[in-house]
Amino acid sequence: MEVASQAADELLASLVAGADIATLAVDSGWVLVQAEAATRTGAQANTQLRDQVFLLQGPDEEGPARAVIKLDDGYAVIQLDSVTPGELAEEDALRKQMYSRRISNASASTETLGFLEMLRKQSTIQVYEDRF
Amino acid sequence: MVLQTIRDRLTGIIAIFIFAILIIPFAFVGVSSYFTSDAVNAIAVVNDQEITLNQFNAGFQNYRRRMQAQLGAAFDAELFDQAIVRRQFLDQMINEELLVQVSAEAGLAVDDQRLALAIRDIESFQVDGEFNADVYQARLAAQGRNPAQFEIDMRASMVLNQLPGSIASSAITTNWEVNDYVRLADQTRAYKALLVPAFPPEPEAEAEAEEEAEVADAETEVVEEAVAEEEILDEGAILAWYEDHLGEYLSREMVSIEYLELDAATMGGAVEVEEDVLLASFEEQESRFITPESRLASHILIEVDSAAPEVDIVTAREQAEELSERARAGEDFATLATEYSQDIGSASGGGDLGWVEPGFMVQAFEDGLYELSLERPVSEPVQTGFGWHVIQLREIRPAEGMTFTEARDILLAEYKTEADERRFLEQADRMVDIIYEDPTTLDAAAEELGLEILAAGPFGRQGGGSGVSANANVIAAAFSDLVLAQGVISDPVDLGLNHIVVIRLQEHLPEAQLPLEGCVTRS
Repeated sequence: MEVASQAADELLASLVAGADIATLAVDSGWVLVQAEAATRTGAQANTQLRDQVFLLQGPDEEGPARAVIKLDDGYAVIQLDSVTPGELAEEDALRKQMYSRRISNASASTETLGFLEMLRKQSTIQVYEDRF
Repeated sequence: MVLQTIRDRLTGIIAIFIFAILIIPFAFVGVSSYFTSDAVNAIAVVNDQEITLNQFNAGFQNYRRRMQAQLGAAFDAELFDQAIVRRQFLDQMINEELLVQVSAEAGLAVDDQRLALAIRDIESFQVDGEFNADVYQARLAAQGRNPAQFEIDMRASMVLNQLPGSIASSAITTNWEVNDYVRLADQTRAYKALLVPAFPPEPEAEAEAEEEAEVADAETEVVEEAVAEEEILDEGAILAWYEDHLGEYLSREMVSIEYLELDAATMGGAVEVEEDVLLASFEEQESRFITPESRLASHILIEVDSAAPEVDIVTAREQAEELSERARAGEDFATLATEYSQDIGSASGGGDLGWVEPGFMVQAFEDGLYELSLERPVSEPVQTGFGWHVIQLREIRPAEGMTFTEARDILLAEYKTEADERRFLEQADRMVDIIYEDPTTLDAAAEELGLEILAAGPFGRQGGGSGVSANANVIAAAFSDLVLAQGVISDPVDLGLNHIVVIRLQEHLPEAQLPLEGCVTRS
């Protein structure tokens, strides 16, 4: 694992220094995977990689964001080229309604949990763990 | 899939509470015991109210049976025997007890009419969509219960759900929140990633890795790693190298598959829809397309209970009449409201109620407001359960939205999408049925559904370069025990929304030693 970590760090350093990731893939022999428009929940062979990509800060004016992330079976040297915000077309009433309901449900769940939490704080609750 | 279905159906704690009502017809035991105490063996005490071990066990067994019925084969008995699951259930019972107590304190109740309506709505008690008293009694009797007991429990559950239900119904989402959510939820990212495995393949496996990266064919090569590039090898040296590195020269395990693909987006077929159907749909969803006329209103309330003595009601009405006349004679309505209105919520604001849409106010008030015009903006006294109101109409915001003609394309597209989805589901169901009858062939399903049997491969566990063989779910299915070892057709594999394939193994090429003769030189 340590060897892989070191190799990943070296690749990252090359990337930051301006190397092309496709060339690095050829030179190093490691598998290069890429996505043009990955979504948070889209089908992907490596969902751990996808989830980690969505945790990265987006690129800035200086160019793509680059990072090494740890995966269960090794490391990934990532070059994040772009982040495109989702859009909701004005006429897409159905999706809007769906999202609206989803947010309302989440909000209602949170508020209900908060309400229960408040009730618990105002109450005397004793649980007999030894009889459980 | 089953778990996901359950998750989709039951998201969040709101669903859990609301679900409590729905499960009553199917889980007739245990609920009533939450509301009584046998005062022995308390497992928890909530504000002096005990939850006994008996109550807990009855409730937990009930919950366990319910989950077993829902999850079917996916039910994990060991999981449900874990202490943490029992503890979580106890927490839920404590929450319910808290809600029972706070509901009682707040005087929340469910009247007979509402209870009756809720029971009539339970499908288990219906025949052809109508409530049937005989079925009702029979279903309860089958569970060793009677209507009186059931109605007590049902009422208790409905009371219990009132507070969470009110919280749920008060959740409002603004356009800003929706757009912000979409920006994040539907965000897309373009990236490239080099995968560095934790345990790099041994040198002899490198040939295989390289083949996979290049989507290599099964024809393989000998590596001239033992010698310098310019060195000339004799056959003996090559053979010796080959024999020393046999593990390096293995063909990859590969499969070829045949499959049937169902995709709602490409199923084709014209969907015909009557104009009347679209129009009816528009009318049903009017509130979606049209924002109704709203009215900016103020009022003066003279409180009087509708059950008060007649003299009090008349006195209050006379006072309201006087205020109505003064307002219509030109006195400032807001000043009158501030001085005389007994509605503590609006009096200090000159009686301002803001913009009112149909359905917001009690019917009598709404009727009174919508009878007014800007030419005759102050009402006669209007009686509601709160007392007498004098209503002032200040401004009208006309209805806005789309006409049927404007909304028609949206409705048509939705209708077509739904029709495609319906047809897809019908075909998918039929496909599964046919395959279930003979899970060794795709022929019958292909013939009946008019589908072409497609082929893909050979490809390895890393998948092929494109098409279905590049899809991780397809690869997993192709190398699954079901398809690879048992030789039967896979379960439907999701490729996307309303898009599935079922696959069958056509050929399996296991990992095997490559003969030296078949190898070529690689530099």
